[in-house]
Amino acid sequence: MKKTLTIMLILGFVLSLAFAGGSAESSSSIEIDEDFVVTYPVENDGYTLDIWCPIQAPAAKYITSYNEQEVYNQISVNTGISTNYMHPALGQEAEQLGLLIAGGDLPDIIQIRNLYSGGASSGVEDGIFLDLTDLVKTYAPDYYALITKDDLTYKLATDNDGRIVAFHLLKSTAPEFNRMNFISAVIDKYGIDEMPVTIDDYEEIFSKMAADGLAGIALPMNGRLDQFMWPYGITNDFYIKEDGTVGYGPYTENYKDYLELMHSWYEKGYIYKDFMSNLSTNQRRALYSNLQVGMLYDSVDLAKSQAESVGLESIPANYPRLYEGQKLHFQTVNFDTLPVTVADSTMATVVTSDCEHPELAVQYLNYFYTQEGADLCNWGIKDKAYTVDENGEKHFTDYMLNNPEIALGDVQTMLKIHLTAKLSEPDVVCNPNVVSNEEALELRMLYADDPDVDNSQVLPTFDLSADASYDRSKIMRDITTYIDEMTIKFITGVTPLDEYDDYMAQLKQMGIEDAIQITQEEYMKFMSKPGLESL
Amino acid sequence: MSLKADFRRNSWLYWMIIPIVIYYVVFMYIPMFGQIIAFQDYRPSRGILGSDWAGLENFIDFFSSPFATRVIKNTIIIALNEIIFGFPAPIILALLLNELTCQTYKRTLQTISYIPHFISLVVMCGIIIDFVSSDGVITTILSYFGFEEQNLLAQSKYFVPIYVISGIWKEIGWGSIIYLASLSGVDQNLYEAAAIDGAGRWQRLLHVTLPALIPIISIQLIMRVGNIMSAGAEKIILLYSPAVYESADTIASYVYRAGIQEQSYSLAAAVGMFNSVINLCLVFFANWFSRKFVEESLW
Repeated sequence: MKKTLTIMLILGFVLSLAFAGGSAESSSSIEIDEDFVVTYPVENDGYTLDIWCPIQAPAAKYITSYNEQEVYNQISVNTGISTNYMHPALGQEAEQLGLLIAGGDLPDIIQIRNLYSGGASSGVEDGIFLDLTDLVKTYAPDYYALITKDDLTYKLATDNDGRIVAFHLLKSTAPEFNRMNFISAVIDKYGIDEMPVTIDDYEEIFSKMAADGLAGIALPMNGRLDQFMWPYGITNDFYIKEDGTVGYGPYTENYKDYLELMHSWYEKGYIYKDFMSNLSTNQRRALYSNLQVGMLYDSVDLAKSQAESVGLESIPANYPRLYEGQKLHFQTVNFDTLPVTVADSTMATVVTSDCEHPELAVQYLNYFYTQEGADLCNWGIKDKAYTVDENGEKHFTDYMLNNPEIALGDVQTMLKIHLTAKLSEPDVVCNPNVVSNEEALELRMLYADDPDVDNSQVLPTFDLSADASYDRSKIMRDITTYIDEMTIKFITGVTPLDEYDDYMAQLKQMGIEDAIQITQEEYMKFMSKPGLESL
Repeated sequence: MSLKADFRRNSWLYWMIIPIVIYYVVFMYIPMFGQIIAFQDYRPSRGILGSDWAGLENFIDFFSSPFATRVIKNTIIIALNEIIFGFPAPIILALLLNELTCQTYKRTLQTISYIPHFISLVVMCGIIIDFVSSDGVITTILSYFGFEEQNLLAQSKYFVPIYVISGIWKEIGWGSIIYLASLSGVDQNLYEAAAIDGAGRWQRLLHVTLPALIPIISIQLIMRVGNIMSAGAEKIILLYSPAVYESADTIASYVYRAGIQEQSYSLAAAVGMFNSVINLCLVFFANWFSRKFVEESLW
């Protein structure tokens, strides 16, 4: 009896091992009919694509899933492909994606964004996502045409081995949306005629506010606000130094200048005292409209709506500078040169190896890059959400702009598709919240013609190779904690800035230079990898 | 008595315990196999069986991190403070309540004291953050006594007191229930006899009430000691910020950051495992100590 039981247990164990091994190797090649021509609706046998993607917070106020969202439904009708969207809980996207993958039973399509450590490329290495290089050529001609339109786009859209592993959000240039915002009543109250330009101007405004007991600004919880680092020639993360090599902002002597400025502002009461406690974005916005801080670093549109909610007016200021006319090289919104949205705001979408009909999945994803699909995403349903006039220009209808059931700030995600892997139009053209109101549009366009900004020192945000990404994140784990902690201590004065050299030495000891080296090598690899000419 | 005979006699009890056994097997024992990932370079996509073995690398990584000693030290400091100040609080409250003679007053007081227990932790932490911010109620009151009018949660020296005191406030009433329940079982004749012998109130408390509580106190203490290393992760994560990592970053919050936020599952599992082993040793130690010196023990 006991013996049989043992044997059965061993057998069971061996079998389960064998099966587990088998499933990992199942990424066999997929048959591709090279003469296939994509037409919508796509002929298919009614297979339903399961799609996992984070739901956008504003949409989650009205619906529990995109299956109830009209544009997604319209896309399903137009493509003839039935879809089933599923969403992780808001704020737990990364944890739930980890569980989903550990669980083993994958949906057909996953919008992994930046939630999968190592990115889409390492997922392909791991055998859970498909290498889409060949599939895209045949089944996603529209996407393929867009990413092969220039060399940089193509490099950004492929991984460091030259493969297409994901569909990305393709953007077009729009003016900066994150700026320093001031309430106009406050500006008037302190007799300021012109919006601040230099750090000295900010200092002057803040000193007037502080004399009145009003804090100037609530910094982010870790005290690292990049637009105030730019004047010192650094940014908050990895960047390209003037000599063309990679550097890391908080590991430079310039970072000390930033800290000195922030420390002196903190001492003088220009910085909101409680900034380091767990302030949420919403709390920070509320501080602004409650007039508890004089300035808000946030998107111009959102700062405006926040101020309007209490009957106030909000105006943005240009990037802070050390002196007028200083050139800044860190503007991150110029999508002519960074056309593919990767890194933090990536919308990378992959097809998994569990997908039974990858060709169907790829055709579905391609639809978001066709003119018809892009219009649906960017404008909503034709004749319902927008109309086209005789000049071919599109205009939103009242259904979009004055919807009785959906707030203007939320129609973006409810009646169109705001963020996903798609061909996107700039928000100053098709964000209902911005275009509804000339004033809002004007605010956004302020400083858009500033000739002294460019993005020459922004590190293109490419996918690191799996090993590099693993090694770098291992080093950066403790370093991030240390920098966050020390930044706050330097700003509040708990640690005097005399000890900045010890801080630099500690970072060096923790391996920051290895992390920079890895990034540098990957950057070189990215720059030298075969581009369009290899096709 | 053989198992068979015992089963025949108490068959219903055996049936009743089955769900509990299943619960422990499914949710406590089976997941223990997952500890294997502490010795692996675990990738969710490859699964437990497919990931590469890493030996003790994750443990070495943790102990060579500049934060290892700090998080261990903080965990112990917070736990010791909780035991020294937090553990006796409900006992004292129970003793005080027990001395009350007016039943209505006693019940009202008791109910009020355990209301905070029912406030969700997130809400409670929100209240704490607000009260100790630079213009919060508590900060303002303290400023009359010469404290600086600064955010208390942003200063590492105040983190532990805030953590412990708010914990007492939240759990004191709820924690006292178990002691009050044991006190209700104390024979009233003992008090009468003591009173006749000339024992005052204080002596009755010392010689009748407290001895009656010793068994439950020692069992509670043993269980508490077993949790030393896992000081409330959720509450710390809700209250801390980079400004106070120095005194607030514990093993649990480190595991949270490494494992959940940065997805280094193996490192998190290794640290968690280290933690559990220490906890296990502590329970054995506490049990041995209690059996030897108080003659009460869990097993």
